[in-house]
This record gives sequence, structure tokens and C-alpha cells, in this order.
Amino acid sequence: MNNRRFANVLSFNQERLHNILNPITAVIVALLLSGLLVVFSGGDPINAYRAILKGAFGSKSAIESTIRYTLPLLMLGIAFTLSNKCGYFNIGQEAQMYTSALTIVTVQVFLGNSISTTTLFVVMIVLGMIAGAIVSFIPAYLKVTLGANEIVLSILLNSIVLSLSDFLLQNTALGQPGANTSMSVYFIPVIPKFALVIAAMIIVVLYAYVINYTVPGYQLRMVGNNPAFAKFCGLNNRKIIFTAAIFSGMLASLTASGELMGVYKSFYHNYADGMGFTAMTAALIGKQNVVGIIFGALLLGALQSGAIGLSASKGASPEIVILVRGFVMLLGTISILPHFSTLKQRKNKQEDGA
Amino acid sequence: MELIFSTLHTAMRLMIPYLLISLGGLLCYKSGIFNLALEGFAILGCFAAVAAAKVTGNVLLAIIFSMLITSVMGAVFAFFVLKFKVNPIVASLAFNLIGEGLSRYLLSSFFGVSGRLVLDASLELPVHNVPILKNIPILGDVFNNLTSLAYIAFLLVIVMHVVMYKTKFGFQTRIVGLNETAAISVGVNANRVRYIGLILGSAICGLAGAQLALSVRMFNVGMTGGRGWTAVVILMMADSRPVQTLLLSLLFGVADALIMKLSGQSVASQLLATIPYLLAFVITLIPLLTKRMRIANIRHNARRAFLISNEKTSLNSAFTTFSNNNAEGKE
Repeated sequence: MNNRRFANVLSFNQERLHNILNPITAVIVALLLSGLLVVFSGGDPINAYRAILKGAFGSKSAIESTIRYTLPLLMLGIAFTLSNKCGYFNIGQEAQMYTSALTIVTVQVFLGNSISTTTLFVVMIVLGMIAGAIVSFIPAYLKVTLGANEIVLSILLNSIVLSLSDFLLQNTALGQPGANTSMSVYFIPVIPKFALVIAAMIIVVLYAYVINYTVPGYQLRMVGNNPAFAKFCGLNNRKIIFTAAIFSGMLASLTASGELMGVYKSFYHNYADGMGFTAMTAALIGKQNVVGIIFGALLLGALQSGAIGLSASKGASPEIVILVRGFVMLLGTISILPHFSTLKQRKNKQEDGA
Repeated sequence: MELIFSTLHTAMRLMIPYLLISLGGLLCYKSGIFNLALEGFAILGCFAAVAAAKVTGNVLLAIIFSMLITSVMGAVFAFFVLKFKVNPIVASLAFNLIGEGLSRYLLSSFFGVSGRLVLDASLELPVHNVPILKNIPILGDVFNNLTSLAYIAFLLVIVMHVVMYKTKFGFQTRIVGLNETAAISVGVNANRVRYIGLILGSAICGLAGAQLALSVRMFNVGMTGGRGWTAVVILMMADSRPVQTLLLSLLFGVADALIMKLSGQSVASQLLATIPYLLAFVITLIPLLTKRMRIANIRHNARRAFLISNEKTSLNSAFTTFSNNNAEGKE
């Protein structure tokens, strides 16, 4: 009896150990695999690793750029996890970001010179959040009412919104029609960088508190884990999924606001390219746990900022970073040590039997 | 009239990648694996075909090489999904990234170019002037002068239909997709069926890549342009049935051809680029809407029938309760 309780504690610890060890192993294997590929294509992997490390953490500006790439991934990762916890697989984050960016640009163009900067800022954030929430709500609504596949719908929405925003930026007053690439007018309100960091931290802590320690968070997880049970407990599954989708879209739109007003100060063509997928990778490596997501986002942000260092060095071409991301995503969700754990369990069982 | 035929011919040409990619996903969707990695397989097929053509200078070798590479990728995908139990959605998104990354990285590290790689004119996939077909008036205008891979694609539709509905393997695939546990309990090796479906399917995706790249004899980063996702929509709408897949691919081909014709006029190209996606978006919803309407209709009819039958009974029952009450009151 006592022995069994001890085994339980042990297995619990083992599970936690797995959750920590698996992603680390995945990252190492992914880096090794891409290193092999670099060797195969005639590059110098050691040099490449060094360049990535240097580009990510080598200097003050490198660390700044790592943080700059980490923050949006962290926010989007949390947005993804929030919706995924209740069973809505939200990979339409790019569409949400582009739509809220378009909304912000529209506000800037039509109200930019007539009201004060603070009001403008608030209007931009609020309207952007509404736009993001609407775009996130559409696939969720179609999924819940019609049983449509939200993954396909949101990926199609991504492409539609991207082309549409290109069209609007090149042909209407929202953009600069003469410019070569599609880009928008400059924004008046600008968010300082440290405010971005603080805002992201506040949102992360708030998310962790709500999802783990409050009733709505519990209901959300319940709907995700067992919809039928949640329904028979008297929960309105639809309402909860819609709420999660709306909040997820709002978070994505806040990320867009941060990117646009804090980093670019304008809306560029393709500014969120692949960000949703990368953030999803971060969330999946982090096992959808807040601390895990922070580390996952940091890792992927470091890779992204290391890619800039890579393009300056002669180790390998920077496209390898896309591959590393792909490998990490593929390997991140595998349980690498199941064999080990089954061996252990079998041993425990045998001991119990004896 | 001439314009219609030429548009249809363009549509035929443009539908082939859609058709081949969706045929590639067919077996795997039928066997119950939700494979979104078609885009990644197709782009890798494009790159492999162009790279092999550049190195060997032979079109046939290029096609075979691209099929080989994508089927190896398909085998790896199947291994991860079936052996390591990675969530198919996650694995396929990862494979899309890997396909994109591999094609870009190898392009810049082997060929020293980023963006596009153009082949010599002799390596273009030839179009065939089919002897008998060219003399038939309407069919000749539409179906003649396509590449050999296009005719193979049409042939593959028939082959897939036969395989799916007339062979033991097709039956096993369908039953595994319907109910895996039941299939295993009657002795079907579900994993084997899925492995075969995925590997064969990804080889067909390689064909699609070869057709895409070699018919314009160049590789362009991101040249699949979302065709893999459209193929997913086609497969979901067609419920992985070969003939319906052909028809839906034709629909997307016609849409693309119309866009091509329109883009000469003064319509913004970015706006035109949204049309296939919008079409796909609407098309995913149509079967769901009709199904819902059908269910609602059945419900409505049932309710009406119930109400009509109830009207009579309720009058009777009201009368009986009334008389019963009276009887009780008297007592």
C-alpha cells in the first residue's frame, strides 16, 4: 500500500520530468538534424551554431532583438493555448493580426489629425480588438453551428485577409499608393519598448491566474477536456467556446497593436509572416503550460534573431532556421521517453505481483 | 466560342496540379488521417523535380526523382504519425514548414540562388498533340495539347476509382477510415493500409510538383501558392471520392482560368488572388449547410406530423379529462 502510494508520487514526478525533458531533447535533436543537413550541403555547422548564439545573445542589441521577437510569439502562443484549451484550434491568428492592423490604419487615416494622441491610441486598441475578435469568431461560429473544420477555414481566412490587405494598401488611401512594397501611413501613437515588455508580462500573469485559479478558467478547461461532461454539468459549451475564441482574437489583435505601434510604427506587407505557426510551435513545445510557453517563445525568438546573425556569417544560409522550426515542431510533441517509463512501470508491476 | 474553348483549355491546364494533389491526399483521407501536409509535399516535389532536371538534364529522371523524394517524406510522415503517435495536424503543419524550409535552404546552398531557379528551354515538360483527339472538334480544342502528366492525372482518377471501390485494398482503406477498431477486429492491418496510402499519395503529390514546376520550367519559392490547402478543401467537400474530386478540381481550374483572363483587364491582381480562397471558403460550407437544411426540414415535417396527430388526440384527451373531472366532482 505504502509502496504503491510512493510509486504514484514517483510517476507524477516522472510525468513532470517528461514534460521538461521532452522539449529539451526535441530541440537538441532538431538542432543536430539541421546541423547534419548543413554538413551535407557543404556548410560549417559549428560556425552556424556560433553565429546563431551570437546573433541571439551576443550583444546588448542582440538580446534586445531576441526579446523583440519573443514577445509577439509569447502573446500569440498564449492566444493559441487559450482557445486550444477549450477545443478551438485557432491558427487564424495571422488573419486576426492583419485585420486589426487594417483597422488601426483606418483609424489613423480617418481620425489621425482630429483627436488627441491618447484618445487615438485608445480608439485604435479597442477597435483593433473588436476586429480581431470578429475574425476569430467567424471560424468558431461555423465550427460550432455547422461542424465546419476550423483549421481549414482559418487558413483560408489567412490567405484572404493577406491578399485583401495588400490590395487596400496599394490601391486606397490607407497605404502609400506610390510605394514599391505595400506599406501604410505612419502611426502617430508610439508605444515605448519597455511598456511592451511590461504589458506582455501583465497579460501572461493574468492569463495564468484566470486559467488556473478561477471558475471561468476551470469551465474552459472542462469544455476542452470533456465536452459531454461539461454539458451535463450544465455549462453552455457554445458560449464558452465563443468567449475563448473572442478573447483569443483580442490577444492576437493586441499583439498586432504592439508590433505595429511598438516596433514597425507602420503597417508593412507581410509583417506577420508565419508568426501564427511559430507561436503555435512555441505553445506545443511548452506543453501549453505558461512557463513552458515562455521558454518556447524565448527559444523560437532567439532562433529568429539568430537567423539575422546567420545571414551575416558564412556558416549556413539563414533559411535553415525555418527547418529548425519545423523539426522542433515535429519532435516537440513526441514523448521521447515512453520506452523508459513502460520499463519502469513493468518493473513496478512485477514487484507488486511478487 | 473560341474564347470559351481557350478558357476551358487553360482551365484544364490549371486544374491538373489541384487534381494531382487531391488525388495524392485521397487514400490517406479515406483511411482517416487528416493530412494537411499536402502543400509541403507538393512544394518539395517542385523543388526535387527542378533540382534533378538541373543536375541530370532529363525530364523523366526529374519526375521519378521528385516522386521518390516525396514518397520518402510521406514515409517519414507516416512513421511519425503512426508509430510515434504525433497529432496528425501538428505533424502536417511541421511538414509544411520542413518542405518550405528544405526547398529554400537547399536552393540557396546548392544552387546559390534565392527566390527562383530557371531551367533551360529543352527541359520543359512537352505538350502532346494527340493524333485522333486533335481532329475531334470540341474535345480536341479542350483536351489536346496537354502535358503527359495531365493525361496521367485523368487516368489516375479512373485507377483510383477502381482501386477504391473494386479492390480489397480499397475496401480495407475505406473500412479503416470508417471504424479503425472494427477493421482491426476483422483482421485488417490498419497501420499497413495507412502506410501504403500515405506513401503512394505523397508520390502522387510529387507528380503534382513536377507538373507545376516543369511545365513552367522553373522553381519559385512558394510556387504552390496554397494549392495544397485548396486540395484539402476539395477532398473534404468531395468526401475523398475520385470522380467528385475531379469535378471540384475542374471548378477551381475554371476559377483560376477566369482570373487569368481577367487579370489582363484593369482588375487589381491582389483582389483576384482572393477569389480561389473565397471560393474554397464558401465551398467548405455548402455541404454542411445543405445537411443542416435537410435535417431542419426533416424535423419540421416530423413536428408537423406530430402536431396534426396530436390535435385529434389532444381534443379527445381534453374531453375525457373534462368528463373525468366532472365525474370526480359528482362523487
